[in-house]
Amino acid sequence: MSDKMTFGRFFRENAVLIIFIIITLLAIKPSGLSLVYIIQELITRLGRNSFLVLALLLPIYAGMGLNFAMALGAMAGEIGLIFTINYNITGVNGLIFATLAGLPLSVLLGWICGVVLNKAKGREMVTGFILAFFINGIYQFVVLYVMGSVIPVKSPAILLSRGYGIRNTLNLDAVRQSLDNLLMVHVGPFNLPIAPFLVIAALCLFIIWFKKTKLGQDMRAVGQDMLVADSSGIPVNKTRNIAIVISTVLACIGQVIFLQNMGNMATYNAHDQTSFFAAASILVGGASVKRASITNVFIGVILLHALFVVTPNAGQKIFGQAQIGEYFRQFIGYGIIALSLVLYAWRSRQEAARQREGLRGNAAPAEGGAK
Amino acid sequence: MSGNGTSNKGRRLLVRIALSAAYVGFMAVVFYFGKGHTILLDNKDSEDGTLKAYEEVSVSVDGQEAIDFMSGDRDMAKVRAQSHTLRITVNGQVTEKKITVPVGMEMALVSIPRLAAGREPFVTPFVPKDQPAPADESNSGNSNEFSAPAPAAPAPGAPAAPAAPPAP
Repeated sequence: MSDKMTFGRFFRENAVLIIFIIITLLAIKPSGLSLVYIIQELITRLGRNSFLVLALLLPIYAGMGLNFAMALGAMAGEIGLIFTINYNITGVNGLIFATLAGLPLSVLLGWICGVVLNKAKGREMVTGFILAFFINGIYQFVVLYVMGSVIPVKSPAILLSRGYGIRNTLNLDAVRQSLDNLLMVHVGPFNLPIAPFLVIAALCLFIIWFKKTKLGQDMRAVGQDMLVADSSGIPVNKTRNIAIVISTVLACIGQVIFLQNMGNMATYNAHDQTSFFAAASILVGGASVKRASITNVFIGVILLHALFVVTPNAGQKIFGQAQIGEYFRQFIGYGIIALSLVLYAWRSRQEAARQREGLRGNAAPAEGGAK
Repeated sequence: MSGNGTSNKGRRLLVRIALSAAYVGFMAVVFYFGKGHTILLDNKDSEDGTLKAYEEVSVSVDGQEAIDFMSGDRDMAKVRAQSHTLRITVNGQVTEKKITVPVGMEMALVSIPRLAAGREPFVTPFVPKDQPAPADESNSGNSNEFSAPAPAAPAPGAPAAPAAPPAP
């Protein structure tokens, strides 16, 4: 009985991870892709996406759940890239310029987001999600009408023929894979883009260091219990605000790294999926809306993208249509987020019920509790 | 006490202004050293007819792969920053020339015969007459799909679009 309970608890706590591993392993064989190809793709995607996923950590530490408003930072990064392409700044300099141009904007947007989320305590995720839609509207207005008319944009390569507004797709040839190729090491059949990994490693070290600082400890205290933190003299709102600002700034840098690897930018919707993919990745890695670690980020990116790599081919082989794999990919992305949130809510209710039983002096065996 | 507070505020303001200036200065440095230019290399007779185009010449810009020109040819090289070294090879004889492209000049037309002869102006601004046609803008900002970003199809005559990106 005890063994059965332990297995059940383990499965419930890691359901998303286990389901994902099973689906990925099952899809590898029918995909027909070589292991070398899959590993190379995963290396590339780790360098491309990890930074964005790491940007989600601090708000989770601060108890604000998944920061769906990280799209705001992504928009700031895109605006930085638009200026980079407008001024034709090439190579790594272009990436630094895009980051420097986007940073003040991301700080401003992060601060606005923090203020709004502080007004909606307990509903941060849905508020951030809707806030991202709202700011997206402003972004589209600025990029479609203000750029070129009020904000000087001269480059005909990015300007619409009417003289204002930015084109649907921007060619990022000037900065394309400039960070990846800065320090490319060839090991056997694999190309290792060392520079993005160094940037990611630096961010990981920053997060580890930050958690040990006074502010980091405050953030965790706020994440565990806002009332207790407030009673202890921790400025709750300010701490939450800082968590969101840092997350938005990291999202800005992450989006620049992401887009330089892709080599082109869908001006009006490149940021739409940023938070979804990042959230799906960290949830697949075993995190929940209350608990996450750097390990969850890397496990999640590897698993989610392993599935993304193999499913189109598996769909092609099994159903005769690659499009099935594409649908599967979208379904998985949304499905994982939904499943994680449902499991989290279910676990929280179980935990609350268990605690109620405990208070009545009829303690139930400890299982399924949220950490 | 009050004087101390004012002095602290003043110092803080000064530090903030200095940091902001350093930030903008760093951006300017990055801009200056990262600014890209297109150099059009022109092996044509000079307009006044005093200098003839080379029958055959090879030019390398900043150590890039050498470009071979016949008389009347024009080719281009993409460069970064403002100062550039052109290595001109004519009948096995190598000459190195330095040129400076102003920051604001996106495309510079360099006359190889003028440059080799050292006759100014060998760098002149070039403004293309036909701008690339716009990409399809009918669907701007209408998609919230949870799928890989898809680039718009290039209009006829537009520069070749990059390959479709892999899914994120």
